[in-house]
Amino acid sequence: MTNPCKFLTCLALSFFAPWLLLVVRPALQSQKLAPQAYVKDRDGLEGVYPGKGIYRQGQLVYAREGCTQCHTQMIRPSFAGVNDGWKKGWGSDQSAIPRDVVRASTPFDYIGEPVAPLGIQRNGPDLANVGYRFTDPDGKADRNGLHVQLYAPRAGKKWSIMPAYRNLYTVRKIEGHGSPGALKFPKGFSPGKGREVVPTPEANELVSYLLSLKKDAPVPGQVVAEAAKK
Amino acid sequence: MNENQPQNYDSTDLDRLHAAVKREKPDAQPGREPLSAPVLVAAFVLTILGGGYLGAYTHVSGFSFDQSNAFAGKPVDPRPVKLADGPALDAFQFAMKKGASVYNNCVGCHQPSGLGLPGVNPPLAGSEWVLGGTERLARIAMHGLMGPVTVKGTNFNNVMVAPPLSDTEIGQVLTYIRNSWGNQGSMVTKEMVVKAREVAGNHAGPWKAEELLPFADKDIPGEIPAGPGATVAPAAAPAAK
Amino acid sequence: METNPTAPSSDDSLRRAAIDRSVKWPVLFLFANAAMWLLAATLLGLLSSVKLYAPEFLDGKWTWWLNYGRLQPAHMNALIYGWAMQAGLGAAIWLVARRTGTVLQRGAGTLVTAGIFWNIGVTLGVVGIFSGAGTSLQWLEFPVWVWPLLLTAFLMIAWRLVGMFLAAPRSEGFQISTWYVIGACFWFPWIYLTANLFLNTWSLDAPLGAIGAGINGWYVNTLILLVFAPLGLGATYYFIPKITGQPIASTQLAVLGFWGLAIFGGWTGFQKYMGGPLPAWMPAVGGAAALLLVIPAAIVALNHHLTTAGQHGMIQTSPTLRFTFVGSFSFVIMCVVAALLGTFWFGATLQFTYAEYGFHLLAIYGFFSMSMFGAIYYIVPRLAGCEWLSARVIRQHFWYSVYGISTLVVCMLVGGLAQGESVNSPENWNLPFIGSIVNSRGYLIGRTLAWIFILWSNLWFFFHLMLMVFGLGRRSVQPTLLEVHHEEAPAAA
Repeated sequence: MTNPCKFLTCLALSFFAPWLLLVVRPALQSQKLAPQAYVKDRDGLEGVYPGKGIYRQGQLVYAREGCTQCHTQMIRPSFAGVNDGWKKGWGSDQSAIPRDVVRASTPFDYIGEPVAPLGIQRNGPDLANVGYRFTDPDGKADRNGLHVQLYAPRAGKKWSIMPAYRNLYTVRKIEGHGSPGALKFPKGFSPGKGREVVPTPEANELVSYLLSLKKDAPVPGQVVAEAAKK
Repeated sequence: MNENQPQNYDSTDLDRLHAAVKREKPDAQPGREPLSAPVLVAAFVLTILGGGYLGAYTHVSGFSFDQSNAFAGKPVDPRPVKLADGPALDAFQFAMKKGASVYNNCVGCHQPSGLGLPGVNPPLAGSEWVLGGTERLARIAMHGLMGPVTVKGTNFNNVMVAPPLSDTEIGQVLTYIRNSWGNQGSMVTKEMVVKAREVAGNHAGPWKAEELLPFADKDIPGEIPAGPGATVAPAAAPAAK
Repeated sequence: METNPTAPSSDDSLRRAAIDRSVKWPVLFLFANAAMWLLAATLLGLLSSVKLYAPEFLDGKWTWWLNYGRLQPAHMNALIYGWAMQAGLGAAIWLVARRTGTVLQRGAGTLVTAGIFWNIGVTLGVVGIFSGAGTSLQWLEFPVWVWPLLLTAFLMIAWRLVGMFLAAPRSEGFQISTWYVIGACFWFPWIYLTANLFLNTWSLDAPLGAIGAGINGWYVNTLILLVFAPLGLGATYYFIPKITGQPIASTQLAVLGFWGLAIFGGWTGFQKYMGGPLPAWMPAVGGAAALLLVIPAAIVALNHHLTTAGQHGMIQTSPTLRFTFVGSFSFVIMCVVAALLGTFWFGATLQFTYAEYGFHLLAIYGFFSMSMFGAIYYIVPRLAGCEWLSARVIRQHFWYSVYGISTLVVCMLVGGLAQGESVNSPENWNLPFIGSIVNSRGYLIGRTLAWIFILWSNLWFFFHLMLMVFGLGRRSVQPTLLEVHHEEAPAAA
């Protein structure tokens, strides 16, 4: 290979193949992914899959703060496959809701997200279904609990290594009866006497995003199987 | 810049300036060592391995974009506890399960076997300090313990700092250590720990063994939820020596 | 004339000196700034490693922006674009100039300007990450407006190198190291442009979803295998024969190793998300390619070993050979670790754990940086016109770098195993995350220790290099050797 032009051509060809087949073609394919309608007779459900999307505005805060450095949003199948390869799925971590084994993530779960934040490391719990975890006993979303987790992660769990995102909150003096949006902390934690913590708009958006993370919409054609497990 | 001008050094001694270049060895024509047999064998093995790996993944769905799961089969729940079936865990089982996780904080000194490290850290299994009064045990878990202490007839002298646990977690881990490795004791609830904390007040730093002597057999009063934890009678704990 | 095994003529020496002089300022500029970024990246790495077990550390009123979510990307990007790419470019300019026998007639100023723009880009990027403009795309965390600047600066330099390669009057001897360097110069713009256009620009109008995450993984692995690996191997293929005075053992092995890397290198990366929401075959292709990449790695290692055969004593004396040896050794280990992480046998446990960070640092520091240190210890005396001041400082740099990187890699791989075991245990799925945190804490403290070692070694390296850049080195015809044997000393540097 003494001819430099021939050499450069070979360099280009060797890289062109994976570039085309692993990047360009899959990227074009991903455009074709569209929500699917449930078949009423088969699935017993109406509407489209996946149902609700994510709250995108809050995902920008999620990206900005580098949450993906420690949190994934991806659940592996718990199928017994080759060599039990994926038996170690990451089922319904840490919550009694949902009580069934969470299904593996599918490409449909991330439709409409520019780049799915699947995550870099898993130093903290998986967040694919975090929207279920912060709920009141009566099933309502527990925004306060999530805010407390973000503002003071060690207020509840003293061993947590999550950074405190104090920059998303304003601490100020309580005036009158206090602001309606001020955080209610568990016993043993106080932001200072006579002070209250109020979330900024960014914090509210981040919390809305996290609460919108419920990536377990029933897959068309597999709904019956899931219902039978209950 | 003038390239022939020596820069920022005083010498114009060309010999010295070119010394580094002069002592360089010449580039030699590369050898013709043939591809050796071990390399071929290793390449062969890796190719088989790589191809097999690719085949195992793609034999079901090929190179289609529709299937993100390589393995056909029925989903199996590998978790040991089926939450979906039957009633929820009772309070005691729940505390035992959570407590097993919280025990990760203790495992470094007291060991997974609960036997401690002989001569360094006292055992929890069969220990009168664990099975005796819960008041004393809760205080140790809340604030730590230091100085000489006798456990199961053996003397220890070490420091246990207060672990970073919430009251709920202390209750769970105490329930766990009182009911593991053959131990049988009553459950410790979160309310009991809260009560013990109120009674102890603001105690700074670890306790000393003699400070805790008055509580050797004192249990924290409190309601124990119905279930196995409540029915177990507190084992007859030998009095602390 | 370079193929002549006899000692080089005086004429030849003068020509080499002229080449060295012509690229002096661009190369020294890139090396000096790279060393500064290395120091910065090391400091950031130390801070972010502490944050993993003591998040309150330095979490004062005005330092909230030093949280792990911003520190870690700032650390990695400073290391990759600030140090590694810059050092690689500096070595590439010198290597291509030497191998093609080109005296840079003009345009050294353009190269320095490109270097300045590159540094502006990296500075803006790191500041951008800290001020909350990061993108959360692994290794592409710089704010979206930085990449055109970096790409332009890179092209300004790479253009010249490819030009030199094409215009070389004749090929002198065997061109394997030029191949590698030109390959990196050719692939980087392609990879970088692709990743940025798809992930940062087009994805807003045409969402990529899960495929986007896969492309991000592809970018990271391809950057390691098709940019850093060829730059590093280009240097090792040049310096090992140069210093031992023995020819590259086998042409056939060298050619196979090169094209093996070129052909398999572009296929990896998607395996990071194996078991995830990507078409099943994509992680499979990545895993298979990672396995196959062990072949070129083993071939390169065998070739280097045969080239050094009989001259291993020189590793004791020559700083360049010593660093290069560690780099070359790490390259094989790195490819084996990549194969382990990329296939489900170990990958199922190690996925998303510290092991990946260990692999990245093994690639960027253990392999690439060590090769670059080797190159810098060889190149800088020729450009600065003086010799390294102190063998003791070089020894400090070498040993603390080796201690640091081996501690780091071992701690992260074993720590990743501990972390993965407790995350993957079905027993733990309904429990708080404490098990994983407690099990890996010890290894994270090891990680901090490793960064302290590396910081110490790089402090020495930085000051040593600065003295050389300012022409304050030793004035001597004798090279600075680690263990001086006077009879053979002049030959070994």
